[in-house]
Amino acid sequence: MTELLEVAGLTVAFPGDRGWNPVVQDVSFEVSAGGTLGIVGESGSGKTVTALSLLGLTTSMGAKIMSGSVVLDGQELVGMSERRLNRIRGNAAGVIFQQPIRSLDPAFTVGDQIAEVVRRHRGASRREAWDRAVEMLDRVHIPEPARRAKAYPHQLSGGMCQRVMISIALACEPQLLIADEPTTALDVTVQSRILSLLRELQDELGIAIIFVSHDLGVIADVCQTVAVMYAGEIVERGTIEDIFAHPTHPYTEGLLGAIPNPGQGRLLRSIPGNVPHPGHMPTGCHFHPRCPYAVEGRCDTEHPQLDPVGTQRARCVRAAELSLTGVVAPC
Amino acid sequence: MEARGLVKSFVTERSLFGRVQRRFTAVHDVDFDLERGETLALVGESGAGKSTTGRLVLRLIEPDAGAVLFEGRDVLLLDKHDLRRARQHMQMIFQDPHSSLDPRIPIAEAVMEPLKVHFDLDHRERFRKMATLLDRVGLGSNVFDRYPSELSGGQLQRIAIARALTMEPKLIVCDEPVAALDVSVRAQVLNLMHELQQERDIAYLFITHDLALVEVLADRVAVMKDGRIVETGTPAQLYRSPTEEYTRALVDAIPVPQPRSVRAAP
Repeated sequence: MTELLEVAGLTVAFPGDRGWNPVVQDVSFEVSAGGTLGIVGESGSGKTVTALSLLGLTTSMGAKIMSGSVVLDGQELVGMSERRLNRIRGNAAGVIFQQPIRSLDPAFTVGDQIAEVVRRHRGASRREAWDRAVEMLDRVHIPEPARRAKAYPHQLSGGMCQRVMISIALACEPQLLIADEPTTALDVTVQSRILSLLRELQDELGIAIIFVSHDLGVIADVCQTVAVMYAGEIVERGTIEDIFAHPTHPYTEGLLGAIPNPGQGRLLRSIPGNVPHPGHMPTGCHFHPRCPYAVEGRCDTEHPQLDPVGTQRARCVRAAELSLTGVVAPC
Repeated sequence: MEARGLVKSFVTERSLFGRVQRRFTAVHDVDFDLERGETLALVGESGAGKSTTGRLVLRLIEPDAGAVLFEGRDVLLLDKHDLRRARQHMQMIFQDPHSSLDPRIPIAEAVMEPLKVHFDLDHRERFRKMATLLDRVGLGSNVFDRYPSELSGGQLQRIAIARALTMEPKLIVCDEPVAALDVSVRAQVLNLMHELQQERDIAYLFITHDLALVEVLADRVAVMKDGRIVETGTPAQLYRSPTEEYTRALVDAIPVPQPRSVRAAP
């Protein structure tokens, strides 16, 4: 199968006290047409920077892509001019963010904001673009779409605004949707409705989705494959089933243990310590200071590669000898 | 602590001359009890009145009707002086640790400040107490001189907890204390809160929209909808056999930590 998106050796750095600090390091993955990839990790793991760098959206934040390539549908995006990137953003690839209310312009109606994208990328007339906006609002199940199109963002709830963001992102029928923690700021009940909307749109429109979240429980709801990120690197990759049943990296095991699973008793497992700061990376494996399985003389000196372990890939020198606990399937 | 018949409404519209045109009742006749060392979780969606209830309990806002009994005394009848003394034993932890700490005050100062206000201690004793508390929540002397902007959300929430503990509280109202935190850090903070409760016999009023979190801490759960408590029970009861449709919707919204394909299998 040909891949829709191929990312190879992507390294992104931010300016630090002494030169550039790499925040994303040597990240590679593929997403096939209509496929779904979850990128999971804690704050500071580089997951959002990875996702936003794909469309060059981190340059305005001061970041620089140091090396690597991002090929979307045969086109290399790294090094592409802003002008040409702008033609791809919102057209071949849409993005939705964590804070839907902040991502919308408070001075325009939501209908205008959807119509603008259609006019810009498709050269549609005002009338056509407005009709498309109403159609999109209906598509994301906003009741009374013709009336709601005339509403301003502050008149809508967080969940509604996220639906509007999704319709903006999908108005030009992109092949790829990048969703950066789209449900983190929402109530659990609203989250579950947005997730089912994303699944439905993915089924019906066949768009590929890159879904960024700190919660593997949420990722399991939408994605078929997962990349686990820690301290700027992918530390494990595999299908969602494999990762849940038998993780091969201790960090993944830790993330799985931290998900509350009603009926499993009181205390949650947690990962001690914090994500290291870029520029202050530990020697050897970046995770070894927090890892319960770390071995002195090995994990603190050797920097592991993302090597195949069974059907997965893991960045751990002990991956083959460890037998880690996943989440047991309910019977 | 007991809450009896709490009511709070807000004015949403006034006429040109300031006459009240429309009111919105956020909390409608809410009753509950909280024993020493117990956790009651208040669960519901945004706008259900959970946070308003939490604020009423501490009298951060004044109710329209009802009573809040804390160790037998009605908090709502206390004068300014007595209220201030009572509040030593009733603390609050907020959702966003970045906005609950002053960005210009270093961590050690921030934790010592309440000690200065409420206790007659000299600087050395204050410092020792502060260091002990920060150590208890898992933070070392390396954070003393740091500013809130230099620390992570999880670290700041630990500091907020340490700060609440300075007063040796008997009740802590926790308003979505882990909603802004990563899943892994969330587990750390919830486990810490649980240990502290065991050690110090603190009662928690734990406000959350996420039913998945209540099992770690809560002895009992009260589900709120449109300003009323619609159902109460133990977490296990609510997970297994919710009687209200609304509770069921909250339970169903918990993401099942399993891939879809595995879940669908018999």
